Amino acid sequence: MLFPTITFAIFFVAVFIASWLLMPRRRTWKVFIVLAGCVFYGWWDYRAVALLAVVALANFLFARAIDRARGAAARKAALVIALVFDLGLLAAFKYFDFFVVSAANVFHVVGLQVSPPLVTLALPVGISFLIFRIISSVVDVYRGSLEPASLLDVAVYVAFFPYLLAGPIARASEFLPQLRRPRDPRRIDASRAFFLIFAGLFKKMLIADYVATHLVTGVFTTPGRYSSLETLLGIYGYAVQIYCDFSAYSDMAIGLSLLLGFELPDNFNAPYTARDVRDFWRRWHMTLSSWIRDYLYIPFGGNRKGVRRTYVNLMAAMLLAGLWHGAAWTFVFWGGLHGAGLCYDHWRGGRRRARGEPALRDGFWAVARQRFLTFQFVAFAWVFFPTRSDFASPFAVLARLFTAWGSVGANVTLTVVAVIALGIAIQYVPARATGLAQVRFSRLSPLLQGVGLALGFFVLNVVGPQGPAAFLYFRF
Amino acid sequence: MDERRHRGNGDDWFDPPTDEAVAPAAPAPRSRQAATAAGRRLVPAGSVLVAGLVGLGLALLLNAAGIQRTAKAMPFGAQRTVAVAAIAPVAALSRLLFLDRPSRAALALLGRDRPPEETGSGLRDLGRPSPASAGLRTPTAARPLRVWVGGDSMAQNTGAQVVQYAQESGVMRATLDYHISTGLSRPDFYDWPRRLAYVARVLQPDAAVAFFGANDAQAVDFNGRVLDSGSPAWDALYGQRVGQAMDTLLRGGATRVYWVGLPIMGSTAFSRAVAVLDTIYRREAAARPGVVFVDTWSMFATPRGAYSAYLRDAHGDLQLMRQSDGVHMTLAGASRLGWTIVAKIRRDYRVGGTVPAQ
Repeated sequence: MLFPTITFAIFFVAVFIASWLLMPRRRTWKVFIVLAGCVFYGWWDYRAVALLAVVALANFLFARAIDRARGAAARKAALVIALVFDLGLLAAFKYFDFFVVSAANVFHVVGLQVSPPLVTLALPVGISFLIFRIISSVVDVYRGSLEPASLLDVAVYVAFFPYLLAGPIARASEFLPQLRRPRDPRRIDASRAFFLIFAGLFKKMLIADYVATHLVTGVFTTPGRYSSLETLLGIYGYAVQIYCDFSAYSDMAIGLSLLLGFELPDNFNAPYTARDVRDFWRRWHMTLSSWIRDYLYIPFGGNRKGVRRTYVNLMAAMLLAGLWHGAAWTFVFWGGLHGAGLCYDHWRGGRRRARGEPALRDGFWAVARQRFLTFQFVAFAWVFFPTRSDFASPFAVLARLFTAWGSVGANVTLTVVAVIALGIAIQYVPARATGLAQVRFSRLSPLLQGVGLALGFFVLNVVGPQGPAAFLYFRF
Repeated sequence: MDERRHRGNGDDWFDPPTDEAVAPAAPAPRSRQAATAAGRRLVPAGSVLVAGLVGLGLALLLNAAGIQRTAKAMPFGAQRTVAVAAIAPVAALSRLLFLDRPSRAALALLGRDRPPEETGSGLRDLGRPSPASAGLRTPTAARPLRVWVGGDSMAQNTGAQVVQYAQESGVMRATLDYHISTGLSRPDFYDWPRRLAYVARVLQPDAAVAFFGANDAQAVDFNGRVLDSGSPAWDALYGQRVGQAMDTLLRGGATRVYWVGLPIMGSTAFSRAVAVLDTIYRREAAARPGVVFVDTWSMFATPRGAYSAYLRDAHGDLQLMRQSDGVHMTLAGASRLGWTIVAKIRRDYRVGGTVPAQ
């Protein structure tokens, strides 16, 4: 079920009413919210619900086994079994064919033609988010920072529908305690929720879908048809599209959760205002980057084992982060680029600190230059994202930047340029301004709030595209 | 646009001062505390419900006409029946209260009130039509072959590759005209006959490439009677629509229409439905001398005739050819098909030079 649809609006109104009515009966509420998650997730394919059930049940048992195991070795063994199971599920659905085909192509290079067995399973939407969420819960139980939850609580954590399809990757340690605390139906942060939902709809329908339709898709599927200027704009356009698309889903997920009385972690913080690659990863997909830090980078050794090992750990973490996004070498390459960027920042920051200077130079022009250069790096690294399967296409896009400066191109229109600029400019809107607007909105009567919402929907319907496009991050 | 709030340890990302022990993530600050601190008024669920229902209700009335169109365009079945029945009184009320006017006025102001089938939006200028020629003339740079490529979502990637390969020839100009979720089964959703008439009248392409069918194996409405997909009556009606589409393009001046068949699909049931469509396309193409049926079934099947998302490319490497939905093409798949179509066009129109490598 897609968020920006009438079907979802009806579904959510029904869930909202039932959820608050059932809230005093905690057990009934939990059963209800699990069922709601199953309806939401199974809307396209009811068989996908089986995946939720298997993941919840298996990880409930793993967490109990870890908790009850006597001795460090037994605990570790239980954890390893859990990780093998969860990552095995992910591999079966997402990576098996990719690795088998990659191996077959290596054999082909050396003159051996093999026909590998392929499983070709339909990829359940959002499986990577689901698996990373559940891994955090069993690892936290292993580390002793989380009590094992009941089967019903694990099922709620797995099937909570606002974050099911594309995050944020709310950890069990953030979510489960909220299940135990009472939620007050008289104190809902509705104005923030409505703002987040509208911000999401606005970014998705008016910015992301517009630039995709009017420039980006064409530039990345048929670069030969576009001028150098169109290509450059298409690359910036994709950077805007992926931000406005993905952060839109996160905003809506957080807003919808707030209406149900739950707080999800923020996922974006104006990422294109970042001053270096490290800063970017503090602002982009924050729940993934902190997951990678806590469950990959630090267990690899982090920065505790010397400078060289730190660089190796950074690269390894980012290569795996790339692979998390998709089963293709282009994603791994993208992760490698960001790993290299992080290593460079680490090296440069270390040198500056050794000289007694701050890691980054301050001052208006210095900051502007840092932001500009970081955005260029991030935008050009995204070139390896949309084509997914091969390297020829992204390099064709990059080559086009240098070979077609003869004309401006018909797709460079004032509207396209303005929408791309808007996609970047909204990240510079001060938090205080949106905060103030939320305060003012919160003080309106419910009737006036409703009229405001209706006008917002009206504008989206009139100006936005016909029919919602699927969110980009559903693929991951 | 969003409230800036980091996780507790956000600043030490990949550069923690000490990471001897992994501390659990700090719990997110409670929304209610943060909201109170920011000065936002927290409201009871009832008020949220009132605001939400007023918002959705008013939005429903303001956009009733568009929603009614969307409901009618749904595939025939229980869901559509319920949706159409539910929106009808809302649309009537909207008209009664004149709440349909703002939407109409806004769409007119934005130039979006014309039927989408009658606009050239997104179409590339193909230049002036050439004087009619009896046969397949050999195009030149001065008088390029003007090619229209259109269809549903299947035409998106593949059509883009056709356009690119055509352009690389130096003697063809091509435009892509695809409309997602459309097809020939449901002119009430998107009026392809009207669109094709527009293309034939305004663009008058020399050659046309049509790629339809991904959404066509569904029930159709014929004079108020719903015909189920695959029934003899449905077969006859759909065949008639396909034939009319071919005729329209031929009458518009196309000396060749390349009707691209559907490939084998990931789902067995869908493959069976698609095989029926291919039979119809083949039959209608065979009945018209100017129409070429491009068989793609075996092109995207394994040597044993089965579906596989991965197939060997020209170099013998396995490449992901189909998207995860088992229906649409990846860029590699689209490139293979686009190259095949353009190679046919080049051969038919005797375009010289080397056929571009796939």
